[in-house]
Amino acid sequence: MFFNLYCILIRIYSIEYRSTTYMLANGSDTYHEKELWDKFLSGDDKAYTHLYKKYVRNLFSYGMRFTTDRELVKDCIQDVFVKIYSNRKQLNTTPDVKIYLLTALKNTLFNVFEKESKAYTQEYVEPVFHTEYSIEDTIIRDEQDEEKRQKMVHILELLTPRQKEVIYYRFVEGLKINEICTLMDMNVQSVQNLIQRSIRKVRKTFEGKKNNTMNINLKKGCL
Amino acid sequence: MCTYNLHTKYNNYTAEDLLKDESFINHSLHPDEKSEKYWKKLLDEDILNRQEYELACFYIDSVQVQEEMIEDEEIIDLWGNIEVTNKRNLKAKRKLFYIISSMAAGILCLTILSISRFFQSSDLTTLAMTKIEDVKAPDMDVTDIRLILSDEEAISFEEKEVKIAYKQEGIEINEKETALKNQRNEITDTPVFNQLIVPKGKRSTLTFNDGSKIWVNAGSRVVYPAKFETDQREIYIDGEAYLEVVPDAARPFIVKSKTIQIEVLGTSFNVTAYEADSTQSVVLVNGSVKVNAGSFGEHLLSPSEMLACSANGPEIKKVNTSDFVSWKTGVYQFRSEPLGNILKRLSRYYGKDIVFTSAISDFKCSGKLDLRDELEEVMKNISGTAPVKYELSGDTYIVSNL
Repeated sequence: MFFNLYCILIRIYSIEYRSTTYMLANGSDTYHEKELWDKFLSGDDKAYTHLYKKYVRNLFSYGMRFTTDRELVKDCIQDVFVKIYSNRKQLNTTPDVKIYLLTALKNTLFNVFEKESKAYTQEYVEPVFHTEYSIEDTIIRDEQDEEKRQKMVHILELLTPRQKEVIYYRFVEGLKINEICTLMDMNVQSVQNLIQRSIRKVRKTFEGKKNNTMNINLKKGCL
Repeated sequence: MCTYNLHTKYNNYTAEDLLKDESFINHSLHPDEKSEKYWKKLLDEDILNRQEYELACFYIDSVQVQEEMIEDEEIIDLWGNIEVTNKRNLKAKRKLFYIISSMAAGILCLTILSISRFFQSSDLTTLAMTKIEDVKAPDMDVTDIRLILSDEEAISFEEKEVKIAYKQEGIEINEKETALKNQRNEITDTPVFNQLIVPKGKRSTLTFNDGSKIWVNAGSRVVYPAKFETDQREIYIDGEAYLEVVPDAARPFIVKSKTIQIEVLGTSFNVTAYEADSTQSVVLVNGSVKVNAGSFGEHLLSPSEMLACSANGPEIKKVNTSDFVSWKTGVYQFRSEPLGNILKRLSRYYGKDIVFTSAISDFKCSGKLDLRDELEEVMKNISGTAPVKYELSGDTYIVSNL
């Protein structure tokens, strides 16, 4: 009889693309991203859908770092996906799909900005990576904590856009140093320096509070 | 454990060092039980300096930013745009091989018919969104069970109950062969959607060519392809049905309704999804199903669970399944069910109007009603149990307080 208990898992992949409503769910990582990309290159439309589903949120959040224009970001995401679809026969396999797509989106966005500035005969200014650090988002445990956080936000706001960008990639997106290098067109050392400098600023500010404990540690070390 | 010993490198780590450490960053951004344990141990055993660790954590914590999120609706719209553009590009490429004059017509075609047309073409089937839900119900009200095979062909049945079975050779009605054939559009090689309308007061069973069977309750409409696709079995329900799905791992069975979508492999369950009702529900008898309630997310049901989806969102609870599927055997069973719901169901089942006051609609009733009885008999039973009275005015029953 057909009253068998069936494991839902085996088919998760096979029915993943049936409908748009399904796309609302966050894609489960049944596919390794490189494998997904290769499938897409070999003409698999399901893989294409899956790529979109998997990365669209990430791409959007990322794009919104350079502009406040939602529609523009969406247009650029569309451009990226249409372009890779029509050029799929010419595309190479890539070890890092996420970085590939992020870079593609960044380039598309920057191209638009450049075109626009030409159209208005303005000097082209590279769009600035912007972030808004806010204390309200995090749970504040006590007053001391709040004071500390306010100081921290102040420090972060003083960082250069480039520093902010690096920090965002590294500590929000969790990208590897070499991935950041690709995205920002920088070498490993400069990326590390950018991070290093920002951390040092933070330490300086909070050094005072830590003195006591540090002394104790030193004493321990002496013994 | 030895893995811990391997990490004495953390001995003199400063916050700066930690913030360079891949596994520390990973842990901060995506902590799990294992990493939680690991870092706690490093701290507890004083391998790692707590102040430095906390400073590093504080740093990561502080640099988190508010992300701009894309809305689900935007995701779907955007995908629609991408598909349309891809399709257009594809067509444009192909057109190079055709006469130029067809171009103008083609573009016109695309803009006007893009949505409805391209979903049916075969070259982008995986991209296309199936539009089974767009199959329209016939304009006029029907009083007989009606099987619509195509725009030109429809059959009406006067009986109260009809058994319809799709076989390889053709369609069987009440276990007798007919000249009706499973149709398929020969030009586009896409399935033709059939439609079964079961008006109030009627019932029907429908067996698909894969052996899956559904009992269709009164006042319901089912849309399905004459022959299922090779990669999925998809039907649309407006109303109530009980389904026994034959397992087929390669072809998941998908039930769509106005607000929910159910995905199954092989299982039995009941769907109540009248487009006109605000609440749609799924009761799982056997196996397992996944219910996609649109913006309310996806829910996996276990046997004996009911998912009821209303405007306030979905609610899952344990139920006695026989209460919900007994109608298919002609018994209506219920447990502390508001009288209003019961009367609504009876009205649908018998195809008679039943009017009741709001004062009585919340009375909770439990019990069984034999649906083979005449409605008069059933009403008598109800008024004998609940503190209500009824009267027949013309063709309408009026139920009110005692």
